[in-house]
Amino acid sequence: MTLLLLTALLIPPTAHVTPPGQEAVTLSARAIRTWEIELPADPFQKISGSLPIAHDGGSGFAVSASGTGFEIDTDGDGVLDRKVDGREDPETKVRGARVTVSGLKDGEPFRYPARMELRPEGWAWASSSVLEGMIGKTPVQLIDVDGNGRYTDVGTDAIGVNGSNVAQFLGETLLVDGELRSIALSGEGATVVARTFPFEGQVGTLDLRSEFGGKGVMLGAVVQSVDRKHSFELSAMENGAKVPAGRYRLVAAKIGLGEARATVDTRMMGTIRVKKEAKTALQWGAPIKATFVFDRKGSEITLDPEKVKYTGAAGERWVGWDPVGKSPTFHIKDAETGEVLVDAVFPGSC
Amino acid sequence: MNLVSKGVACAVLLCGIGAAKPVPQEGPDGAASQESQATGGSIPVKVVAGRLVVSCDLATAANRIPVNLFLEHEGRHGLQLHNRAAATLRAESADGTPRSIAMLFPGFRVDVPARELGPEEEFEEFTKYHSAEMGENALVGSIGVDVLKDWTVTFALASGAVRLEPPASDETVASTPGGIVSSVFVESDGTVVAPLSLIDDMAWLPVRWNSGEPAGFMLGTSKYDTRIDVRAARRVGKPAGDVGTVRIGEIDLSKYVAFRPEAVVEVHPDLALGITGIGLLESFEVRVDRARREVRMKPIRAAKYPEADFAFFSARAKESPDALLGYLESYPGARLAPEAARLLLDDSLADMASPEDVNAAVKWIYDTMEGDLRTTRMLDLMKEMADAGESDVVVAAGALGIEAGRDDRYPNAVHEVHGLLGRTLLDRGDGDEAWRHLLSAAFGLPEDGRVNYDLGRFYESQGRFRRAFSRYVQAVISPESGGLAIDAMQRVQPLLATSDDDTREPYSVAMVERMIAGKVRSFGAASPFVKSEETPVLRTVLVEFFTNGHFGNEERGGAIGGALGMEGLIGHFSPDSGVERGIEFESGDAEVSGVVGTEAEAEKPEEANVVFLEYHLPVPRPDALCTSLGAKRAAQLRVGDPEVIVVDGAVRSAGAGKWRDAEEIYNRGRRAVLGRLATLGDHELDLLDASYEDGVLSGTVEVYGPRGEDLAVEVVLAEGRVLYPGTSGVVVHRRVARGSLLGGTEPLGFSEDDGEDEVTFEFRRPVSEIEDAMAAHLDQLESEGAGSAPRISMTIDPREMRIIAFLYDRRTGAVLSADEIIPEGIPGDELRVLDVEAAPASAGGR
Repeated sequence: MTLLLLTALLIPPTAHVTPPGQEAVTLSARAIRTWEIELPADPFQKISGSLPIAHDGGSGFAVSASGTGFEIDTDGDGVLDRKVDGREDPETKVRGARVTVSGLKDGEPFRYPARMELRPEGWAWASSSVLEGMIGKTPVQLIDVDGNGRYTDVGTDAIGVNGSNVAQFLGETLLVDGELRSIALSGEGATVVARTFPFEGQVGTLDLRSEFGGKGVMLGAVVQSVDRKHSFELSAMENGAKVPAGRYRLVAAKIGLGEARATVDTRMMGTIRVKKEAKTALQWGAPIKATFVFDRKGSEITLDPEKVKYTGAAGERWVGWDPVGKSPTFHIKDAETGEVLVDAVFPGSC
Repeated sequence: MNLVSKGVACAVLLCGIGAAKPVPQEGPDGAASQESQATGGSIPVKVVAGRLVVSCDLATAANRIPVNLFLEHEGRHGLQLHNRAAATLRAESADGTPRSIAMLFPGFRVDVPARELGPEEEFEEFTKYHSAEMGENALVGSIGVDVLKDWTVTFALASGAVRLEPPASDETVASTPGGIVSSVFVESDGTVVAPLSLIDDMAWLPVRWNSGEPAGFMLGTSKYDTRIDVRAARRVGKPAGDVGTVRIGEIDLSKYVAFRPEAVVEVHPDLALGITGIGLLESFEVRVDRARREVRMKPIRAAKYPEADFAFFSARAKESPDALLGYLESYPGARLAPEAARLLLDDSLADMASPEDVNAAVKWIYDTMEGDLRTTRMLDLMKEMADAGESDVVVAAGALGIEAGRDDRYPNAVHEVHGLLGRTLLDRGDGDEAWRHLLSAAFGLPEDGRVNYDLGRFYESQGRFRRAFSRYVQAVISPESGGLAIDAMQRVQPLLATSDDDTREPYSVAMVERMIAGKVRSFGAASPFVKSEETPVLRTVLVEFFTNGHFGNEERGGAIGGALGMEGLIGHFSPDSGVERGIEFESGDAEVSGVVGTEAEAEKPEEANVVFLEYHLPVPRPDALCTSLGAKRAAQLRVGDPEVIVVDGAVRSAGAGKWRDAEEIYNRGRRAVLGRLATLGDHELDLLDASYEDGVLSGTVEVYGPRGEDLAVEVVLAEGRVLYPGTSGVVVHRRVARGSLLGGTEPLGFSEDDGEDEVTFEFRRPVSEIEDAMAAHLDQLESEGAGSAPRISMTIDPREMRIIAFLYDRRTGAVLSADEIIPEGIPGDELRVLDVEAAPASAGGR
């Protein structure tokens, strides 16, 4: 075997020249047919005449609303060739569909799956693809949240880390194999090169687990720094994780128990300050306070399960906390005597 | 309290605040069962498609039905019940108060205070695919831990039984020799006795895994496979679930089952490692004694590791189509092969596999399904893939589905496959092949709206417009194709003259109504109303009908009964020829202004003294005929569900029922109207000089009578007939209120006493404004989460326009006087007489 051949076998053709302490990997596109990745922001974009996926034949694939569904040009020839009605999710009551468009890009055939959802303002779309690869021993998936065709927008796009199906916002840092590292991404489209190197800024510990009050399993807890440069999914970090010091917001969270799930509306929450070389533990979850509104007309009172709100210790509002058939009992009392006038529960059909 | 089903409204209404009224709890004793709840007993169970199923009767004081139920030891519920079963049982009283339900087992019964709603689609799907194994009764619910926790439960699945015993009393437990078990030990017969942990009623077995780490295994029966937490499995580098030994004392669970890696979303102080499955429990007799906090596991079968199960979990963990294909080729008849085949298809599509590979995956789904359900399975796959735009899969599945059509358990499945395959081929431009399949579908399902619509599309594409129009007419009566068919008829009708020499009649609802006569249900009064001394007419009465195009269905009843009853009332009290046109005329007047006199006019009945309005409310979901006016009027009259006829805002009559109830609904409504007609009022309202010009409706309302602080006038644009085929079975809706002609949000007040005998109001509004308001109201309903409605029949047909005005009390909604007029200037004035001659006595619902 010649030296030249030996060299060719030992050095992979895609290897990058990487400075010491840095690691570079290539992330490649993969279509996701059954989308189960939970994103920290709504990825759906309103469709304005076309699905803006560029191809050799144009800048997108034409879409036109039709009845409750839409018609779409799936092969890029400008002709609306498929009528899609979509299907209403029995749980969410949201009508959605999945379409796959195909054509040529740079002379090569490609297929692009997209998720469609019917919103009050009309049909909207979101990507159904990721760029994925391994950084060290940590699998990552980049998601183009804003639908602009790039996967590298810090603070806007998302990244799934370590096989979690809960993605965090893409930041300038990443927890890789338990170590906080800076990450730099280069390239566009279907291939992106990710380089990581040790983070050199001030660091503190953020713990979302130890002071959380709740019986369920924390399935997701995503924070983002106020300057949107850093974001972490911390639900699996039992003792917290090293993060760049600064102010953070909880942007998404979810707990579950058995088949039940509850998510968090974080808009009423304050920020979390992570001081350098200190541990910050967020006190949230229980005790949960339930508030409800009711309508009263004369001697009739109407209560609506949709109007019961559950607020946690950090001001977070828990949504979906209404297992079907499990009603709270409402005691309606005489204000003066305290005598219970009526007990009521929501019907078993609710 | 007011019970309504989910999706309708879940509000609870409490009446009579001010008096103590605890929630009543009825017993189910009316079921006349002699069984005792105290004794317990043995429940026969069977494993069907990997689920534990119990057959029993359910009973309330009102009814008793035989059912199948899942038995889910880890289900966080008591008794879940499908809404349809609950309705049959009358599981809630009319005001929503839950009724106690008895589960009747051989020799004993178990009572629950109320049912809960469960995953209805899952119940229905299970029944569809496994009806043969379960017998003739549907699976309608599930028994969960809230029921089972009150018993000592023994799972003897190998002998097909679950035994329930009353729990030991505290005294008995205290006197137990040896006390409460604190550690695992083995009895002489091999039974392992272990302490039981109870966390929020969930029962946990103590296990050791991963070289002795303690963990918890939940005792579950809802799945066949024994699950292991996928994160824990990955942590030890075993994503396929082969984590090594998992021991309860001497028993190594990993010798009996291959663990299925799944997310275990549970909490345990050590580690929520997994959940037992039915497959594991079949090898043991397991006694769960919550009072003593102990579990006893007696092996009854030798351990036999299921290699095929592990092969699937291993292939699945590799996330590669090749691995799944390898599994299928090795274990084509295995229990998990259907799941593997489906996963193979998903992965093949995600990996953009070649059409040959995708078709091969479809074939695996076909091959791994039971012989008499293959066509049904292919049909379900076709529907899903059609929605996803994967037409190649639809075509491949269709071809396979047709192959097995004769053997399928559901004879209509093959016809549906032909229909969907034909539609897909038509979309792809393969018209001739599509036509062949669509004809086959129509042969089996001649009334299927979508098949007729697609055949119409084919004929239209061929320029065979008359044949196309005929198919569209058949399609218009079906809710799933009605909207499309209306558009298609309007498109094709002008082309008919080019294909034959017949004189064209302009497209109209009246024309469609005639064409569908006989295909839809109708109800007509035996004779028109004639006033007499016994039935005097002392006022004009307003009949308001609150309905919805999707309320109920033709089979079970709902809007269909009300619509047919209303059709009878309209035919009886308000034949078209009796409505004024443009200018006022006196009752009994023999001339109709603006219309050329004919013989038909000479027989014109007296002026209609009963006017009708139909409002659509967004319950159970919006339809395109819902308006803010309807919502406002419903609020004034305190109408909740769309199932009532209100006469003069004062007398209520049934407005929903089965189609065969139409005569009774008509008779009740008629009596209510006659009562009001015979009541002299203090007020009189007249509509005058109504006209339609350049898209604008205008006119005058004159009101006589004493003023009142709360009195007001409303002027409404209604359409005589509107096509809206909803799931209720009603196709043609009559006298549909489209919006207020007053423009603003407030009605005209009739309160100021200026000394004049009468007050004259003028109104003027472009029809397009009303159409915009209709669309805006639907947008608002959607944004409020009420649901969306197909936007069909949203354009008001001028030929059907009627103006209705009424004077009413804003406080109570009571109507004091009303009038109706057809404006002058609407298109088709010249055809008016023809309309009279052709006045149909037809066609309310399918």
